[in-house]
Amino acid sequence: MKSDKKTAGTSMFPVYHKGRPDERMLLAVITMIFLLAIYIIHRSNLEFGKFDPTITGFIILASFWAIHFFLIFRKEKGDELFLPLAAFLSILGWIIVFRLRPQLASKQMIWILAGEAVFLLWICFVKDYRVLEDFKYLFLVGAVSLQAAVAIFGKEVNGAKLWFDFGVFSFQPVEFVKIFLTVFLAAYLKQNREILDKPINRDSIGLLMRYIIPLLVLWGAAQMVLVLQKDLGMALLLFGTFLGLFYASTRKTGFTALGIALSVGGAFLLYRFFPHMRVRINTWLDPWATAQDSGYQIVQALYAIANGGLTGAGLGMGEPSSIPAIYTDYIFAAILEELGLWGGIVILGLFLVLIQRMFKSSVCSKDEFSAFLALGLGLMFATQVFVIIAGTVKMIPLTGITLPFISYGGSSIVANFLMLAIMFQISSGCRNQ
Amino acid sequence: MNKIREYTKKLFRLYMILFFILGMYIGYIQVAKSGEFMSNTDNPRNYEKMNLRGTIFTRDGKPLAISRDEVKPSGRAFPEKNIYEPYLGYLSVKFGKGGLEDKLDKFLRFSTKNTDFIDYLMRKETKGENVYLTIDPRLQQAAVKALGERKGAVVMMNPRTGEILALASYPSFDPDKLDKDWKKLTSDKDSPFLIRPVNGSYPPGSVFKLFTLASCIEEGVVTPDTVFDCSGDYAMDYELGTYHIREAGGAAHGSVTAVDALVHSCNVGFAQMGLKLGKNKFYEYAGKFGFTEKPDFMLCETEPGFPAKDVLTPTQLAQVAFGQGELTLSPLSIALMTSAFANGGKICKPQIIKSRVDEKGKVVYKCEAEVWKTPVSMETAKKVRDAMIQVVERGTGTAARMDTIKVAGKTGSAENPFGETHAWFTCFAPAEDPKILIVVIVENGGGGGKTAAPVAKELLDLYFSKPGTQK
Repeated sequence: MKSDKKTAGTSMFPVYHKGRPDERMLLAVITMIFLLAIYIIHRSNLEFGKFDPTITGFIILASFWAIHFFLIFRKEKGDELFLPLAAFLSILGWIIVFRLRPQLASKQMIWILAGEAVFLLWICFVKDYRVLEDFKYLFLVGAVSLQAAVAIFGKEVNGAKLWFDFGVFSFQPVEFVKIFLTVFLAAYLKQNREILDKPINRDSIGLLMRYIIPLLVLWGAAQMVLVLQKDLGMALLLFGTFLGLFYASTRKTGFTALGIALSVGGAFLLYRFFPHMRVRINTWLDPWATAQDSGYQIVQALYAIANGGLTGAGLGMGEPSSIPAIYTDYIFAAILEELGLWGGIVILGLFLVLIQRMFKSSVCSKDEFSAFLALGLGLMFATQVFVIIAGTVKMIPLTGITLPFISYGGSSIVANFLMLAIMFQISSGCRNQ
Repeated sequence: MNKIREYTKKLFRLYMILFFILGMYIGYIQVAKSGEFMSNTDNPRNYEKMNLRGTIFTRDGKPLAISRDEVKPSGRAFPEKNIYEPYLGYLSVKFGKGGLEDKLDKFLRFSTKNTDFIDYLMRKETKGENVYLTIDPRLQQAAVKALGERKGAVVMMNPRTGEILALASYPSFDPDKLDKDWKKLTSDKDSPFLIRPVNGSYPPGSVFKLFTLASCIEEGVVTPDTVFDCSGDYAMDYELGTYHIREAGGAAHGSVTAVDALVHSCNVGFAQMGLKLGKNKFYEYAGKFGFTEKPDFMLCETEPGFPAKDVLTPTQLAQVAFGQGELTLSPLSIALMTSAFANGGKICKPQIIKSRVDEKGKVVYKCEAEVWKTPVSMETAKKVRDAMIQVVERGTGTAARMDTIKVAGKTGSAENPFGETHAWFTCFAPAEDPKILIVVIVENGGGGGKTAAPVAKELLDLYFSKPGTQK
């Protein structure tokens, strides 16, 4: 990431380059990596069946180039790193999916193209994302009703109702719910920040409570729904986002610590009273005890990761297929097996660069709504990446969430591109000097 | 606004630290722990590396478990089927491993432990060790044949060294059909996976009288000539009424010496002996004979079911003294107890690995006899042994008598909730210079002298038919 230095610079508001040269250079690098990866996969002994989906990879690559030129044409001023990073991660995801389940590669292409379409539509038709602020309660209601609807009408998979099944494709509303909730939180915090900001004394405490309590209720409700739906990963994710936003807006370490303490207590209660939580924690502590049963997935993933070693088995040379959910939640295990520790660290680093750009957009934005929104989205993205990767390598208990941009799956990819569009607009606000 | 920026930066720093820790952790799993995960036999990546797994041999070098690439799906072949199961174990892609394949896994499997740093980074693989068991194939085959299709177990060991020479267990399983029959095997109420000679829990019945006699003699409360009265019914008063101890078959032995009590397996006599010894001493000797702990043996998974001290009320004590009551022991525990009388009061640690040889042919382990417990003195052991000789000469164990060789033994017919009594027989021979110790149990087989002793006799005949089987 040589160009990172140039764009990021030391100044708070980077200069706008006509023609987006950094973006172009990075896309060129990605093109080379893509060609190399395609070559390597074809050299390995993988079999693709009737239809070789290599062409779909080229379509994805071309689409990113097209977006690049479109952004130049529209004289967009958004951060030049967002597009190449999203391109790299989603192309990497496509390569891994292609390598693991060739028959899913074309579908993954469709998801990526759909995500890009959402990105472009948003940029073309939402002139100013700040209108979101005016609809904050709509987002709240939308989030809650989506979540409730899926809990009632959703299709049950592995004992949890998280999906709407539309026959041709299924849709996981929680991916959008998390964005909606972040928008709401950002707007709510902006509106009420003065109150939250006051020093705590006898006069202000009542007022403060009046604003914190609905927030807590909302948050508790969201967590309850998620816990009832056994979607622990998403609960953890919202918790991280909420706490981070709360910390930055109130700057009250005590409250934040209280929030953490409450959650630890809650987690303990979950452990005591929900058998599936207990199974999950025990599986995490000692997966070898149930290596054929509930520990199977994590044990198989550890074998895969160990097989990767320092340099990796090589693309197409590993044997990660024995791991359940390898191309969705567990895709990072496949990456670690085939690309090794080096590859894993590079991808972790690229995620961190993307996260840094998000936080940077928050820091350089000029109004509080934008700052909170960018921070909220950044926190959520960062927490998601951390939670799923740390779960994959057994650092923390496993939770079933996707690795952004990389995992196979439509809802996740489209939602991530939607988030990227919002971030792109926030970052371009930084340059409107 | 500036404050928010400041806190946003703080949050980013927090995430940087979290990601850094995550990166370090991935490194730890992927490089430091890699060798451990990679060499695990359950790792499907290893099935193609099965050629690196060591072989299990009998003591004279007959291969029992070999790795062959062409064997599907597990890569492990068991050339001597239906003889060495279930203790030899299994290795299944789907269901993991069991028995010795599991217990010896850390020696058999290939390793990536390299002293050379470059080899370490490249994770160079070293072939697993070959393991030679103490098992004698001739005796093993004979034991399996002698037990036949009767539920039960046979232990044969060298009482002088603790080397296990044969372990028969019925029912068992076919390692080749394991994957297919798994559900049936695991739900079978006859537990084909249970290594009965080692992990079977049985009431020992009268074979346990050896323990009571030895403890009493050692403690000096009884001599071989102490006389006991047996009217066939011994009544004991306790808080809920009167408890009667009766002889099997309603016999009455009259006045018997301690030796004759053993020879005729007199329950009443032994109940009195146990009460004479007292609860505390009784429990102390149980510890000395190893009945209160798991034997120090790799295949052992079951704790001996010896009643806790506070459970030993006088009525319980009287029952346990002749091997009934709340007492369950494995055939191995009985074998170890018997070995004390064969070995001058010393119990040797049971051994099943004779040696381990690494890839380069270097012997990395060789078993040596090791004393595990010394429950009684040599004099006491001799007295008990002499009584055991009498059992075979003129008592309940005459079915095991040999023409030229003196056999010392004890029968048992253990009452149990599953029907007919379990038939027990424990013996060693030659009595003066023991070379072989045999324990037989036939589940619900009836009388020990009638059912179990002939099995032991068959094995003794075979053992002594060709001298010098033991190297």
